[in-house]
Amino acid sequence: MGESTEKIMDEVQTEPEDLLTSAIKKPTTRRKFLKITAIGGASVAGLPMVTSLVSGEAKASDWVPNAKWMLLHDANRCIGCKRCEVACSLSHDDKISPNTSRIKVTRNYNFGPEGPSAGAKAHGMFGDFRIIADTCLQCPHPVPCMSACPNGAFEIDSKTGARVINDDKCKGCGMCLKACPYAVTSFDAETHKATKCDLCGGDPECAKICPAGALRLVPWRDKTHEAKPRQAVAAVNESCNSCHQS
Amino acid sequence: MATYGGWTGKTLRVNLTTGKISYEDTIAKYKDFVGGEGLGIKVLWDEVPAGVHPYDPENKIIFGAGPFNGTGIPHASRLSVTTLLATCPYHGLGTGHAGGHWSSVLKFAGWDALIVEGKSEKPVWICIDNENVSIRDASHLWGRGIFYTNATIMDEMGNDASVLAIGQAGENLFGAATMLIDRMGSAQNGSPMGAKKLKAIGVRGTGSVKVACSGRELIEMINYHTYLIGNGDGAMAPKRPQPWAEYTDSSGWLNGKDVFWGGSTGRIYTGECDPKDVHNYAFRGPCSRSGWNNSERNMEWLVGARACFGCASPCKAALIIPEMDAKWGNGSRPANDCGGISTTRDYYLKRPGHEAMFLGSVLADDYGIGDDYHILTGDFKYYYQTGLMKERLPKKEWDSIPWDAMENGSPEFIRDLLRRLAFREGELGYAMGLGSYGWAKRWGAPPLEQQWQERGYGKAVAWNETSWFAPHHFEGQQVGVILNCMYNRDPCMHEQTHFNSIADGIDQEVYAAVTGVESGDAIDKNGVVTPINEAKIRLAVRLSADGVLHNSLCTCNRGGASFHSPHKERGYKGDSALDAKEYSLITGDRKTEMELVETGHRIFTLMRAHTMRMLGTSNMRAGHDRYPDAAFAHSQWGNTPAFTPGTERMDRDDLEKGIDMYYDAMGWDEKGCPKKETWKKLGLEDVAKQLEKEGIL
Repeated sequence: MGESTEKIMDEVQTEPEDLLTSAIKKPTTRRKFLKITAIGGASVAGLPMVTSLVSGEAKASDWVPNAKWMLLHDANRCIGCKRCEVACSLSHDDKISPNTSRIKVTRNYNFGPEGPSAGAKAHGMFGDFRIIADTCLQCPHPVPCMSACPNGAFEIDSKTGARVINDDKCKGCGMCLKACPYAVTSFDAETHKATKCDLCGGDPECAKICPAGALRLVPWRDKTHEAKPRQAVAAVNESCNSCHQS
Repeated sequence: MATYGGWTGKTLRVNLTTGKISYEDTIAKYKDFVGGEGLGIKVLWDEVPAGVHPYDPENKIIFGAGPFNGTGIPHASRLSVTTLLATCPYHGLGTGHAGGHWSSVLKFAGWDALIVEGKSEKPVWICIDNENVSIRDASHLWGRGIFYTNATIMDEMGNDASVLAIGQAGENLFGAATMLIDRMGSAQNGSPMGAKKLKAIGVRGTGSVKVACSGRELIEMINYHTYLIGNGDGAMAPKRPQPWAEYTDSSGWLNGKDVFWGGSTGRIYTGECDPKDVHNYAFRGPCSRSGWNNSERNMEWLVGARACFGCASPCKAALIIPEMDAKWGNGSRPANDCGGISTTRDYYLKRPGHEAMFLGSVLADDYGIGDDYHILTGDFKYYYQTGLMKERLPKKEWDSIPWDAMENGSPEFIRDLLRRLAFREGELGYAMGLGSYGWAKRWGAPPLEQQWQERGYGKAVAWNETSWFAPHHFEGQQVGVILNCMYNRDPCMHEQTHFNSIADGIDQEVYAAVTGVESGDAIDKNGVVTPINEAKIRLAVRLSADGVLHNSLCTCNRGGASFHSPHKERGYKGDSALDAKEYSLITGDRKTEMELVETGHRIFTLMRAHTMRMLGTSNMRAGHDRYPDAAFAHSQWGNTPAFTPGTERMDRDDLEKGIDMYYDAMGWDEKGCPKKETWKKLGLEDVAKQLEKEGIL
């Protein structure tokens, strides 16, 4: 392998994968960062402005590695029993609550992600019968929910690389819910905490209880380019955080 | 007041006359009756006097969930809809049962049950958005189908809502109208909703159901229960031989290397479905395939099985038939269980092709048309074949019905017929809308006994002569006949189905040993009836409690885990204390198996008290618990004597003896009235006093 090839291989790393993250990992200027943000913003559909980065030079410490694993849902096998939502909320919250479940079936059950207005193209029981579950994609850097948290409550699970919420630090401000394009972070009104998929430390309860084998833990890959955003992400800025930061 | 897991603790009450919305304490008022059907019966007993008609404002409809709903316990997403029955001659109470997800969402919204009373002047729907409850205008929905209603309300409430709605049949007081939930479950009692001008109930719940145990403990219980269940129709053995299976069964546990779900993206082969393979439970079904025409040939249309909340053994099938999509539109895709998919084909003299069957299923779901469990279809054919139909219908109406399409199995016939029924068009729509009894009286149909001799309806001899309801999966043998006499409609007791269907597959001796009734004498082999014995009575008594208990917890019990399992290493035993274990774990209210059975008997006995009130008699033996003579003299049995292999003919003296034994075991007198000590034992002394006050006791 020649020197130039080695250089290429060095640049084309498996991690980070895309232009945005690879650029941010390296020291850069504020001007260059903003330019890259504009490019990256287009690719991840409405990525929120991130206070810590906007306010100064991007630092290598801001970068987070990609997750090692992710949860895949197979709509061809899914029977819509929602046992995944049961197991998720029971194991994490000691109660049953599709709302706090980190996997989302209920909202797609009857008409699919686009709802009744999808008409003839609807999924779900009133459409083509495909039951679609929304799962956390464990987004690559910059992680929308993590970046939006004004309280530093997000951490990286060392075993799986999952982006997880530290309940002790979560203040229940809900900014992560606003930031997630796929709306897979939730808010538990009873505990006043946000919830999101932590991959159960590598042994997901939802997958274990699925009677159709429709859920599997697989090596991570970037699906953010394929998944359709469920919500327009609000522009989070410093004035937001001045209220929400504890 | 002590707090328990399982229940939310609040029961919602909506008065459509006054618009008042209130709530009450579930635990204080209803805990002794658990929830669901038990709660509904308690409300009707307390609040609805004799003489009220199902369509009167004074009638109440109770949409009851129970402590198991929303917990994820398998088969526990049942909804019990209890009210006065529109098609029962004396309008005794009865419960419609639906699966789906609505009852669980109701719990997540913070409610154990909804009591609807009064009557609105204009069409309305009830919006339950967590603790925010409102009565909303439904004028834009009235006259529309259920699918459209569902979509419109969900658009208004949100994508995570669940909708229960009636169609045009319920609006027009078609007696056997249904309500549909999520395109998953349908229950009877749609027409009392129509009488109240109540089109639908939308529920959105973002809260939680809390349990007394830890989350980990409940997950373990769910896994244990799941391990015990068989197929969605209660079978414990597969239909086709499998390497792991000792027995095969004639039911809908249909899987195999060449059996597939062909309508999904890529065929999904169902494989061997070893009962220990936790990720293949779903592929034992849908058991509803057993009800289709050529079930194994139609697999290419099967998108897959679909389940109610928490269920691991789905009974519902969802299909897309491209040729029907092209011809009838996307709204012609069927999704239902075996009866729901196949029942309208029985309006044809001969089984029509799949197109007529599936189209009829979808239209019945959208219009909200039921047939009181196959009674109306049988009446229809009988009146047609005997000439009564032609005699009673005006010539113009008779001529307008596409009888040729009926004779040749064309889907045009079912499309025409169901429209007439939903909108109560003409004499046919009006008369059928009265229900089987009202229709027969209006047209001067032959007496029931004569009909039974002339109608070749298999072995369904346990028809209740008083309530005019035929049995549902409850035919044959004394246990079935006795239990069918106890209800105001068919018992809807799938607990009994397990005994009927499983005996096909598992060795008779093994099967008998695992019934939990101590003696194999409780179960007769198919095609044979043996004389009544104590084991049969013990089974009947236990099932009397289990049936209403499951409707109150609320669980459908199609998995049959209480009595059986598909596991050879367990000797095929289930766990008869399963209900009590789950109840204790979830609620924190520790109860033994027999204590919970007694709770079932309390509910069952209160239902009987209400029926005594409606009939105005304590002599239930003479006034209610009647069976047709066809049990002894059905024409299909010729001269073969009772208790002879090859006939299910019963013997009158033997059956009367069985009723005596059952009454005695239940603590009732020889006329079928609970004795004084029985009322007391069950904590129903106040009920007895009220019956005395009303001059019935």
